[in-house]
Amino acid sequence: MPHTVLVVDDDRDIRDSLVDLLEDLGYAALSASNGLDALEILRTRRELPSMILLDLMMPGLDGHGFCAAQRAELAWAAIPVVVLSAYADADAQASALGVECLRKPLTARALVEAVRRYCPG
Amino acid sequence: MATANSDRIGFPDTEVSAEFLASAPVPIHCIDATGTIVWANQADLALLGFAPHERDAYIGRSLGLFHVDPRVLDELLARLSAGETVHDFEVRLRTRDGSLRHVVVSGDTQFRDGKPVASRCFSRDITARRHAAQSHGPRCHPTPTTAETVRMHDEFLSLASHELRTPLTVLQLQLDALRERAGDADRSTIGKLDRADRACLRLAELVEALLDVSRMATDQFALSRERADLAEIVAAAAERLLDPARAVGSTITVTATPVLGTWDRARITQVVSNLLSNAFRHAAGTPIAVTVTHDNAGAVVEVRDRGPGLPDGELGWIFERFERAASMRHVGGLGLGLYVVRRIVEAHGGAVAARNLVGGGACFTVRLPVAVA
Repeated sequence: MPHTVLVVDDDRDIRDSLVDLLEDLGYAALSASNGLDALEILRTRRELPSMILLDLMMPGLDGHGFCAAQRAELAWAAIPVVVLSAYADADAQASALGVECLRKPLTARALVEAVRRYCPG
Repeated sequence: MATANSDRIGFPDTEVSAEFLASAPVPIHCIDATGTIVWANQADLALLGFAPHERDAYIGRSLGLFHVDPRVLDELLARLSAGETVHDFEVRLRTRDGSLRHVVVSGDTQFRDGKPVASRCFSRDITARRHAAQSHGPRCHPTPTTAETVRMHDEFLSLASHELRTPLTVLQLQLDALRERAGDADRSTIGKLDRADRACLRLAELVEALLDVSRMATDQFALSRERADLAEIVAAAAERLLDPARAVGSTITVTATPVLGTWDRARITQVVSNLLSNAFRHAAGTPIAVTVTHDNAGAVVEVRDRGPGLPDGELGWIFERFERAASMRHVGGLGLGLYVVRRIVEAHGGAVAARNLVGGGACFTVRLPVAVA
């Protein structure tokens, strides 16, 4: 059973690029266009994802809001989150959330290394 | 005020704190998970046009009755109920007498067993500011305060940064995917991918430089210093650029003496990277020598190339402000990178200079004090 990675990003091209890349690597990928959709996926999926790649700036519910809601739910709180952000202060924002950060623009290599850290094998 | 059901919704549980909140000059109200107003202080009542003795006419009503824009309210409630701490969320409210108020709301939600129980909202009436802005017309905005100017600049930079980096991310990921799938494709295809990769990298560097210049131009630029060996930072920065050097037919040699000091590692890396990139552009195909030494005045980093050198007329303005450099003929290359170098070095309390070498080539010298500036 491959690891499942949830990609949360409002930019469709980035979402699709990440999903393609993850599937090429043999992972299963789910995608959501904002925090609310991502929470809905967590609520409705029987199998929770092994990790979440999370954009910060999104309409509806942004990355900070998603993180707060995710951590409020015991079953979801342990899912590792890696922030993918184009914010100038992305590192500081991710640090405030206590999660790893990959700054956009990012290379496939950087992404693969991060995903393999949380989804080994 | 605190009521019998205060424990259920997390209201103030002592008379002192209840009075503190009830008489606070900031409008505060609590809503339950259905959006019903369950508590409000006097300032909140006043904002909506209710007298203190009319509390019962306000409490228990749906928040939606007072919001002019249902979709905006939906978004606010969705963010709150999802656990987000909302800051300065602008809404329009209809008061009891029918007048319109522009208000910014900050708030968050209390959860119990993972479910939203109550949200507390702190409001600020910005109606007067909105009216002032409208009465001045679209071409005559009120003069922003310095703090507002900085905030607006910050917001613009944040937005510009996001908007510029997002398509670059897509481009980089797609190029990486194409390269992966190209496998052992013909040399022509690989060559095209290499060129596209380089263009993508250059675009990313330009975006970063533009954003840096914009920050520096308004002094919104801070160092994050740490104690480290300058030689190690410089050598690591140079090593990262070995491939680009090879691509233009140059070599990089580093001769570095350890110099312990307090530096911003990322920014010093940027200085070295910019100086080397400058050499790649203007002295391609020549050997580039990087040295790190120190003397009584502090640390000295030099980047020497064997290219054509700098025209005499350019030595005077080569590190000048972006605004001047941008009008020159080196837009996108020399001007941006070297201006950023100068600002970073000066922020460290140092100085940068350029000179032509006897026998050909250019030498860029960075002097940095070892002690904290």
